[in-house]
Amino acid sequence: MTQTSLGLGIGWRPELALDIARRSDLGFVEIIAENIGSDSIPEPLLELKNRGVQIIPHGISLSLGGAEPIAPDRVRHLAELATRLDSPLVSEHIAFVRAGGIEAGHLLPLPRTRAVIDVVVENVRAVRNLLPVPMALENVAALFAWPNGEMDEAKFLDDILGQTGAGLLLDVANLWANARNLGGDAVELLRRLPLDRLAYVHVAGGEERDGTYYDTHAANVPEGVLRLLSELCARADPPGVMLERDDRFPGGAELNRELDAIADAVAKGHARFSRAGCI
Amino acid sequence: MLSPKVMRDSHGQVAFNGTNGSSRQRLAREQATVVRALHEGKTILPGFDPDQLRVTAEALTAKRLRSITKAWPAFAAAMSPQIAAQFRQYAMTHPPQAAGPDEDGGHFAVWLSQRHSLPMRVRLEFERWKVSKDGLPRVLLGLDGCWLAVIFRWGGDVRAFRLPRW
Repeated sequence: MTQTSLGLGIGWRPELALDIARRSDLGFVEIIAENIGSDSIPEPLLELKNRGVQIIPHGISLSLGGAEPIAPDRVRHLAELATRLDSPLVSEHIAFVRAGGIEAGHLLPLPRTRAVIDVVVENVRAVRNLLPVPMALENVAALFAWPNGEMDEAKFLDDILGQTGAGLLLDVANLWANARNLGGDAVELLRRLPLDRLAYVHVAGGEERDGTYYDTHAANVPEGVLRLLSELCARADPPGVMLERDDRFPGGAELNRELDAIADAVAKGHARFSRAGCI
Repeated sequence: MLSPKVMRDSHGQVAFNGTNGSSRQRLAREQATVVRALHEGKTILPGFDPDQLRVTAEALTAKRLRSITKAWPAFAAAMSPQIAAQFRQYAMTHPPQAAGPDEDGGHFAVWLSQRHSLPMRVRLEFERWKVSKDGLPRVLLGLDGCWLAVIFRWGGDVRAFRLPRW
């Protein structure tokens, strides 16, 4: 997948529309596909598009990691948005959201086995045939692990992306959260991820309660996540890096500080990247 | 369907064919088991860490409630602070509505009304929701506080008038 240059970005939410419109250095925004009608695209999004900000539809309900058939209507909606917004790509998750006819209400992790990889690859290939643009796949935060895993998350993602040709939407906050909650070394995982497939990066905040870190997207980005972002940027040059904020929305000044902190973390990492002679 | 290997049979039931048929069937069973367990708050599953499942189940319920309060803030405000405890009971036997948090909240309100005498403000919000869905006007009588409320759709809005006014 040829990576499109995106720059600094943010998840577009109606509550943040005004502050997003006022920020002049955004290269892209991501929209939750299920919340935007392809025939009723909000005016602020069209204004962003007109001034050259790229828009990426991000799906949350395809359930690419699920055993149930993928609903064609959901894929068509993603495709329609991408066409209407001239999107360079769309994205979704390596997760499942429904099973046994019941909605989970959240993105749930998958058993990391060869058999599950085969199912995911089959689903992704079927979906990609209906999309007019490339697709990137995101790693999810997990509060539980399946038993009898055959590999770690890096190998799991590498195999799926290698077999499907999809890009990597790397959520560094999810990597960090999983290392805290389930064990493992996030930097070590980073080293073995297929960073040559990086399409863009998610950064988000969360909350710790009773020893568990919750990736809520409702708080400022913690230092640990920003450090992991710098580690990533010391090894690779992500085409785009964006902030996700879905709740307890901050005021404009605080939102700008969050975006500036992300830009600083990227710059710090790139400084190490160039000193290492990688560019 | 998107994949020739993933089809429905003549009864509309999902049928898996192809090289991944048996893998899909097994994954379907396993994922359904986990989703049901999480919604029902059953955290003992073979091979799984029960604390991890408990934390996940609680997080799912909290997220679901948060979605309802965002979609239906007036109802949530009328119910608070009892809503979280009531909702946890409801969630264990009622999976989320595929139609989204507005429907989910409505079904929760139905469940509540079948078990409790709803406080006046909660009942009023519940009836507003019903009018917004079917457009049929409602007349409510509150014998406890001697009040009468009329709820109806006017244009695109749902309006309520109560006597005496509060």
